[in-house]
Amino acid sequence: MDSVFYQFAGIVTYGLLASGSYILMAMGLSLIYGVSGVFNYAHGSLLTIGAYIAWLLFALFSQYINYMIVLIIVIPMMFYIGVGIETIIIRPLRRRPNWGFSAIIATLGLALIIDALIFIFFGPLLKTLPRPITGSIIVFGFPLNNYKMVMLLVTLILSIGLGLFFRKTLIGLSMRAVAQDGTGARIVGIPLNKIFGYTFGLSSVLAGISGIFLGSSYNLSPDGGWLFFIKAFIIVAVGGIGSLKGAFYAAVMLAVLESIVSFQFGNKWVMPCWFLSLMIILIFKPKGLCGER
Amino acid sequence: MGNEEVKTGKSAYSMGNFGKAFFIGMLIFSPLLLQNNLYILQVLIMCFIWGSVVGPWDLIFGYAGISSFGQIAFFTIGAFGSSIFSMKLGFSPWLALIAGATAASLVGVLIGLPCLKLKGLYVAIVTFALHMTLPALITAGRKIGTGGANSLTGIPPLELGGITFSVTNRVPAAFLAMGIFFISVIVVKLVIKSNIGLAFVALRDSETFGRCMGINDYKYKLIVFAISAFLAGLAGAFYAHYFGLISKRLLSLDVFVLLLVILITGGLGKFPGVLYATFIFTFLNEFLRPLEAYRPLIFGVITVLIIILMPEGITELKTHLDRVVSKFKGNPKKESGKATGS
Repeated sequence: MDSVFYQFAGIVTYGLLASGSYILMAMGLSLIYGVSGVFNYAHGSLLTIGAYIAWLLFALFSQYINYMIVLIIVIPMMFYIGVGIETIIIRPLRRRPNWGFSAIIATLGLALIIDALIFIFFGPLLKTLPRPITGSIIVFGFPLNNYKMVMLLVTLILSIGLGLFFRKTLIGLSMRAVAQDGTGARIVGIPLNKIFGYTFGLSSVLAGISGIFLGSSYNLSPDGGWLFFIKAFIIVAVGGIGSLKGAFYAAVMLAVLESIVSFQFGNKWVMPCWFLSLMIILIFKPKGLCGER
Repeated sequence: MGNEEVKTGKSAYSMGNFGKAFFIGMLIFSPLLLQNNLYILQVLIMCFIWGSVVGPWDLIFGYAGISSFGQIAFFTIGAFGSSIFSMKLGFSPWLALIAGATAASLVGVLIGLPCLKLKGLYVAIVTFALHMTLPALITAGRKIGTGGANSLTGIPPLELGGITFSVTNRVPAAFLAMGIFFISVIVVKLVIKSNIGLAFVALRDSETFGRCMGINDYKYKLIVFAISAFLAGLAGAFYAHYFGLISKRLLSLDVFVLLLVILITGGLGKFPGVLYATFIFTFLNEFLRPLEAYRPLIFGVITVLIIILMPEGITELKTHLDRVVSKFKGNPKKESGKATGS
């Protein structure tokens, strides 16, 4: 009995650790919908961009660089990429009625463009990012991967930071105001375009960071973002589209589910089980776990 | 000639009934005309197949307002379903064709039951999630005959009176594909003109009023969703028996984006528009094939440009052309309200 319990606890712990890499990408995807109403199909490709920028930096300046410097370079780059996407592609669409679906299709086209460009510049071969931290420590008989723990820690810190950002800063509060009522926000003098741009920027930054995380755990390939995009997508739908809290909890739950399923039945059943849980959630709680809109 | 058409109130560019009949006639006899050019014939068959997938897609996306991204998933379910029915369960290919399409339709109903009640993006999300999880299901379903991670080969061809409709015998196959294409087109047209289509138009124009008139759009949406899944599944089943080989690559982004570009270029809710777009882009897709990596780039750019510049699709292009033409001809009667007469 004891050994079964230990095994189960081990699997759950593994899932919790793995959730670190899902939380950030799901929150980025959810944020953009919550504030601007755009479901960003290019989120997976933004993930890939972040990872490839990091790879390029390591390939060019391998001796002088570490993950801290990479993050310092990648974060502003991703931010401006996000702002640029909003300005060039989303802003012209926003003037139309019922523009949400146009935006979906436009971001899908954008994803295709990004993937193709990455393929053309970097080639089809798999790339790997160096692992900054290796080894694992053993706690109560469970081996805990050090790198995954660091990722989870960084994710938690960033999540708390995001929570503070939305409660304390002017931009964060403005974003929440826009999320609640765009017209009302404009009436009280919030610059809507700017806030939309910042939201895209912030979401891209989150995508970029999670891209680096995932890129150092898996291999990089030009269309590798899609697998993670669909995962983020299901997480966000389960948690309630537009809810950061929901994305956080759903990411943890689904990561644990993934760990259990892949241990019991094998890796290939993970996505079917995720889809099934999405359908079950939609039947009983159609707006997701924490969905309001 | 052109002036007379303008006088009858028709657009200068509309072909008129004679032109239309000529066009359809050309289409019907095209397999015979192309029987020496097997490559073009193959592309033509693909046009028919994609046309019978995209037409119903426009019906649910453009008319019923269901933002479904599951059309290719239903196509794939039809293809794999029909193959499994004929190979594992020993159905005759014709029966398997219908059974596969019915399976796709059933999955459509199952998916539609919970999510068609929801407004907004949930349908898009659930159907796209179905699309993205299907490859995993196909890989996992080796035991029920999906071929697992490899492609599924050896699917028996359709056969009638000694004629096989397979990739080695393309002229009759093209006629069969055309038959399926016309069935799909006719069903879509019938639905658009039926009470269901009218109900959707009413809801689109004024949702509150439509509901006050007692339109139960959930029921109608479910029916239309099932019909379009059936038609997509039928096309998929034909595809499987025609090629004798299918794999989960059907669900790759390549195919998805091709059909999406066709849909938005044809214009949502402007029915025959998608059919023209099907022929344009299926051929374009083939001609761009030598460009390899640049092809998705081109399609991505086309998608973004069309959605930003021409949200109504190619039908908008036609109105622009009409405007230019009537301006050029200096016929101010024609351009009432559309363009400012100079």
